[in-house]
Amino acid sequence: MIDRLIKGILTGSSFIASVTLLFMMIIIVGEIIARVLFSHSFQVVHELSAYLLVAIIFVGAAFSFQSGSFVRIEILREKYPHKIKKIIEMIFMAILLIYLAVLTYFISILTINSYTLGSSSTSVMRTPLYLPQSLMMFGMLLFFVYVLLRFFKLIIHPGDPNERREE
Amino acid sequence: MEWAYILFFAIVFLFALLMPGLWIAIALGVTGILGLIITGNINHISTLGNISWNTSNDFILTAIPLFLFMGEVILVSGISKKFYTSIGKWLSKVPGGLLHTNILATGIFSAISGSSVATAAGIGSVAIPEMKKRGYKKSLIYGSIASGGTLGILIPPSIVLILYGAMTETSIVRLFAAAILPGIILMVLFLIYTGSVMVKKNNQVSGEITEEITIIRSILNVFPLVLLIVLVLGSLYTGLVTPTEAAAVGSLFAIIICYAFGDLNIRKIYMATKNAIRTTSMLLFIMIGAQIFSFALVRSGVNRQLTAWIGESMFSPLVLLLVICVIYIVLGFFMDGPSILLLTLPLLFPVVMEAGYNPIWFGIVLVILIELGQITPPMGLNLFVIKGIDPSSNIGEIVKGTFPYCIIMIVMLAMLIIFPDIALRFAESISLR
Amino acid sequence: DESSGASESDSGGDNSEETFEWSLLSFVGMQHPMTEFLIEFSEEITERTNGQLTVTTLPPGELPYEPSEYLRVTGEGGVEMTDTFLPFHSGELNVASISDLPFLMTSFDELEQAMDEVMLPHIEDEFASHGTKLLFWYPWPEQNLWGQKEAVTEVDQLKNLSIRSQSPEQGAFLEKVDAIPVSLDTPEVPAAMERGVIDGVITASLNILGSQWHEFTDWGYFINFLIPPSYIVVNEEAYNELPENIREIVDEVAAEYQEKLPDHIAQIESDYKSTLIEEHGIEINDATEQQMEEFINTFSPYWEQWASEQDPQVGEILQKVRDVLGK
Ligand code: NA
Ligand code: NA
Repeated sequence: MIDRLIKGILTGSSFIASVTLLFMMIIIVGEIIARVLFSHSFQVVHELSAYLLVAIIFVGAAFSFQSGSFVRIEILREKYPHKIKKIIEMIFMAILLIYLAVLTYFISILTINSYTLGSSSTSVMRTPLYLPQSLMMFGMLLFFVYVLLRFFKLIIHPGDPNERREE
Repeated sequence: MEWAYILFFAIVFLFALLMPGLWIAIALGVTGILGLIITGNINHISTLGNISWNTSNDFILTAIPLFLFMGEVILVSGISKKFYTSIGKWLSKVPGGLLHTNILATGIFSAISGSSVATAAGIGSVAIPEMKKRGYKKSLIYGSIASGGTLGILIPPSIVLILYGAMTETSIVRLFAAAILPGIILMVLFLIYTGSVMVKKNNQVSGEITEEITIIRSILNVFPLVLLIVLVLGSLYTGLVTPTEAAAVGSLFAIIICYAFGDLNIRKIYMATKNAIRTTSMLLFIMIGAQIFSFALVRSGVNRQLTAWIGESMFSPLVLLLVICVIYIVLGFFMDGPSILLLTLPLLFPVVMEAGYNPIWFGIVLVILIELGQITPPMGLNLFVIKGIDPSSNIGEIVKGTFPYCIIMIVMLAMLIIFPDIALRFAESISLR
Repeated sequence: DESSGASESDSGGDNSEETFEWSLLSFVGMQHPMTEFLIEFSEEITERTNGQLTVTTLPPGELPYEPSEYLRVTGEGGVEMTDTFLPFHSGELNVASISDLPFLMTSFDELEQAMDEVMLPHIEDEFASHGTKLLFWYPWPEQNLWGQKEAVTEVDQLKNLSIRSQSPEQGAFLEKVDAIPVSLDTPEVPAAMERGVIDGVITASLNILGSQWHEFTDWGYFINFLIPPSYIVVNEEAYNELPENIREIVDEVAAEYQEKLPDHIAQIESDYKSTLIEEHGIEINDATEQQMEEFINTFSPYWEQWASEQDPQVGEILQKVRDVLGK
């Protein structure tokens, strides 16, 4: 069950972020073509691209973390005895979980306040900010749930060899 | 000197989290949050939401995933393999061999991109796998790419120089002009170092692939990448696109060219996007963590006390400059370049002008200091780009590779201090409208 | 709980000796003339309260807030005071954004008249509903057209020029004159101007010089597109927490700045204009009266359309402004 959830999150995370990246590339090129060939500007592409970047960063985070991309200093880690390494890993996962919880909480507050205050961007689009901020909130929730599930697994099966993938 | 204690404890605490192996992005953020709590600024913690949003919602940063994607497309399509096979043959007699292509390629790429992360990302994703295959020592590959990438903010266009110009009301045209010669000199120094290091026996490549290929074949192999560079540089310098948009154009051209000349399909494109996303997401989480860390420093008053201390210390101009260099190098260990500028420059700049320094020249000095910060641990964005591109690498190896380049940059700084004309001669000959 | 600054009082009941530390966020750099007077304003308060209330002016970027978040952050108590520039907040403020309508108020006098006779009480209410209190406002110099190559002196020449557009109003204007509105991030403007990605921008002289854009600029066409006001607002709780004598001093200094700033800013703008002409050789042409009239006539339907999308009350206030200005 947990495994299937984890797999689902990771597939979704990488797929949505990938499609978003390609879409971002296409609309920027579209803007350039319109401007250069047809003397027309959509006036929204730069703003929209920044929102898509937000989506890529946060929705892609769970996938990025799983693939071991999150950088850490390994000089000492390599030398720990196996048992201590497992304990430290557990502590680190707990710290990560708390950090993500705090960040997710305040990102959600920001998003909700944007909604209730009716904040919008200052550009031509006057985008209600809660829309792109929801993408950020959604991505953070995904990342948080993913790490939470991983943490559960770590507690249930401390020795599971599949858990070492992120190294 | 309260700032010194706060800074000291923040750094010690950060190290205590980093050394056992906590992820850098998390360690920076956690240190920042605890800093806010300890200094009595917990009521400002809701700013974490604004920080996350404002750090990531930035069009200029779209260049990072797009240049990474461009590099990955070139790589997965096999175009880069062909390119390196030919270039490797041509350079086989030159000491340093393919390592020179890293420096030259990052130098050329710098003229397109305004960001050092984007430069290292664009070249690194192509060069690292190819050169590893050819048996180059890993620390040498990583060092040349991470350090060559920093040229992206010295050789114009440069986002950091634009930021400096806007903050201090200094001519951006003159800053760009002033940066060209130091940029080229730094690149040449990098090339000289790269050549010299390969003379050493145990650095030499034994298993260099020397397939027998004809001159025509090798030209054909090099052509697609050269075409791509010409198209991207061309669209930038003819005014069709801005430096950031160049990343999107480059990506699309890469898909077209690699489809025509290489081996590209939907599955490989998906692989390329995934690799670009992995690194982008990681980098931005580090930047968010670094912003939280800086926010705690601002809220505890460290930046203002530090700059006030410099202003009040009545140093002689030379000592003042050296103190500023040391402080920027130290801050560069923990913070990203734009943050350092935003937190210190408004208060330091008047002091520096008072001491009689030229604002254009000082801008170039600052950019080199910021370049240095990009490749010094523990917080060096270019180091993390390399780590992102090559997951099998470790930060220790990368840092070992960049260390000599740090020394070269310090030499470059000394040259600029002794011969300010390196930056100023060209800048001042430019007539402004 | 968003208490402002350190309280060093050791007596329990009597707060009169309590000290307060406030920050005032500016949205332009430390060397900018607008920031210079904010610093003066801060120092004036600090001095006259004998340091009981210390105000420090912070440049943008020192705290991780974008200028478009200033109003909200002030209301939430993230910072005590901000310089809230209307164009960044026209989505959140309704009556106040009347001043964002192109060619409605085309001089400092017209803006002041509209403010004093109609808008100000309503704007104070709007700020109050965001948990902030308005201390004073000041006008930013008029936004004009700037570009490179051949100088523009009449509307027809704007045809097919690519001009940077930052707001729906600017976009609407550029489309009406057959120019091409292009959206662009601020850091990209220098490179885009230099290489000809865009031909021009809409902004004030102050900003042309302040951002060093004069290096890519050959001409200015002064059409007084609009005159954006900026509002110095304070977090309501922080303000109410002050002892009465301190509050009085804050109000007093604010009133003085309200009084003297418009002339002061007009002077700066005219100095900047001369600098652009004399030192940087930029050709500046004013729109003729006839051209201005045409702009106003072309744009009055736009004002009406805007009003129809607002609360009826905002429409009424707009009508009063038009009556007062005779437009
Ligand atoms: Na560059
Ligand atoms: Na560093």
